[in-house]
Amino acid sequence: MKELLILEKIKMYFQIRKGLFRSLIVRAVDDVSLTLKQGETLGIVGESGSGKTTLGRVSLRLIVPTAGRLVFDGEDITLADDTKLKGFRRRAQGIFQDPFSTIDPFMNVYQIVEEPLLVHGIGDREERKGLVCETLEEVKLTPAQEFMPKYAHALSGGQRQRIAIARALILRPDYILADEPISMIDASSRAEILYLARELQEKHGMSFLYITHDIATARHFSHRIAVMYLGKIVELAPTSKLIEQPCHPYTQALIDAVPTPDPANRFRQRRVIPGEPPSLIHVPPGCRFHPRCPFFMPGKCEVTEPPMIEVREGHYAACYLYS
Amino acid sequence: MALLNVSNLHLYYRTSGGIVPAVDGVSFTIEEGEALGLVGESGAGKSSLALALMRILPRNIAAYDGIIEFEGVNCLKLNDEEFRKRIRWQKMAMVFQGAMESLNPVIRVGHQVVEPLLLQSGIERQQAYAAAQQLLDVVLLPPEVFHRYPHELSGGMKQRAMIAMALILSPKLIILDEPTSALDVIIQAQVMNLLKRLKRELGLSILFISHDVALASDICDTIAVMYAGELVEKGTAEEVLTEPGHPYTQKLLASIPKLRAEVTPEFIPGAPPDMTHLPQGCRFYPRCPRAFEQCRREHPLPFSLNLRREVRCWLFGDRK
Repeated sequence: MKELLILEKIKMYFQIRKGLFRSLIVRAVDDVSLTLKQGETLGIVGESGSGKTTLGRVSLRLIVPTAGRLVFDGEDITLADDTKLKGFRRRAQGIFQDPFSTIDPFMNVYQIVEEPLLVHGIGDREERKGLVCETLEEVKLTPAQEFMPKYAHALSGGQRQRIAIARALILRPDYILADEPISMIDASSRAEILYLARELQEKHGMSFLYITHDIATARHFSHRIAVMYLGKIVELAPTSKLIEQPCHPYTQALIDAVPTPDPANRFRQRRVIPGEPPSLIHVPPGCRFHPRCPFFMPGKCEVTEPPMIEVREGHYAACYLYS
Repeated sequence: MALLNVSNLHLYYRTSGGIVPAVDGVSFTIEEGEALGLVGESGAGKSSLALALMRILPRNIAAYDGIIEFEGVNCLKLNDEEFRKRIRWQKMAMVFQGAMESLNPVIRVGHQVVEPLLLQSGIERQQAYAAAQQLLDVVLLPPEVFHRYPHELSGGMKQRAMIAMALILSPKLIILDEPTSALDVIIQAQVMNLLKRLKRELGLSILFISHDVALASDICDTIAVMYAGELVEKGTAEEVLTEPGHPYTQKLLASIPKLRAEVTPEFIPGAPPDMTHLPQGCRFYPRCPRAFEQCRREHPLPFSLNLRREVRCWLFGDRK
């Protein structure tokens, strides 16, 4: 499969001022390399503060990375200017977490979904109307005519998120960033949105970067999963491999922490690692996970950062247990 | 005798759109040392039920009646002052949703935890502070947290502090409203382990409110499923999780993405009904895959399957 989006050694550091003279560096994304293939869904799983959202923003070139290269469809766009970026923006779109704040309350559904066409100067009035109609049908907001004059406040969370998908979809992009698209939707309708995304992918062949804190949905809707911890990717593997044979102790801990509906749960304590992730300002030396790791090897893990190694075909982990 | 016996409880709100029956004829019991899980989608009335129990009510109340019997005392017969003195926080405490926003940002954590105790008459300041320190230890917070401000604490630590605050007067029942929904899964698992330990060691009774059935199964002995203001099913965790009776419960369980099994998650088409214009028959009927004519016409009653198990669905009643 063709490589659509390449993130190469991406670093994204932010400087925050502390008092008048001191400033601190937040290493939100630290040396991350990823490749997104055409027609693929790559899940990025991590806790809050792992840098996954920042990585997503870099992938859309909404922010310019501190270091590293961003290559889209063979073209380096790391430092591309506005004209060049406009072509990229037409082919790369985003769906974000909060369908209550990402949709303008003063625009109706038709205006929201039509806007990208206006920005990119696509079609005349009639053609645009046809496209909006068609796209709304595709995201199952039917009959489209009925939804077009509605405003966001009259729609449910799931419907709003489908508007956001329609707005992203109408330009027929090759790449869609989906950053926690379902975390604010009721559990009973989450799967519906993800099935819709999968159906659209099968039809149009676009690639998704699916950013989530929920490894269980990532398991069902991604081809590959990358696990992020404190700005780094600690494990990357095809989905079934990652879930069934996780290599990194952090991935193992994430999997252990997911509750399953079982009445026997209440009779046992859940296996869980201690502590909380440290702040991105004070990143531990060596392996970033070593202070919480149950397999911590003194003299090794806290000294140098473990390199990413291929444990088995296509399955990468950054952990000394495997070298 | 049950510790808490709630019977035919109603809490209606008056809104510009009409009357909203947020809690509509809800009945359940919680035994001493038992954890009851209250699960359902957002807007089902779970939090309203908790507020009704704690009598923390907004102004636009259209109806508030029924029986809330705590250790044999009908709370609804008590006036506000009596309820505050005898029940709220003394016997029944609550951890609110979103620990991040529930703490006062300008007061040190320890002072907030100790406050309910200081308001009690006849307790020495020193004694109260010692009790609060001890409680921080029970919820696994380091002693220095006492003198920290909320912004210096992580989400998980704030949630522990909220739990300590609820436990300070040694209540018998603690209401946990989505206690972990803002936390990451590993921290969530840590908090759940803590709650399990407290339940066991202190013999606490718990009303655990969550939209996540899987999470509820981590601590709950019995489970009640709420939909559009009503309990549609209740029973032991074993019964509800392994043999769900109500189609809504079945669908809710099927919508959980399983991490270890191949089965793909399902979804429930449609949305919960508009609470100001409820369907005439069963409230779940428009979304129900097994609905038949009677469901559209008649509101189902809760049918008892055994002593503690009820399902509000015509599939379990007499078909007409």
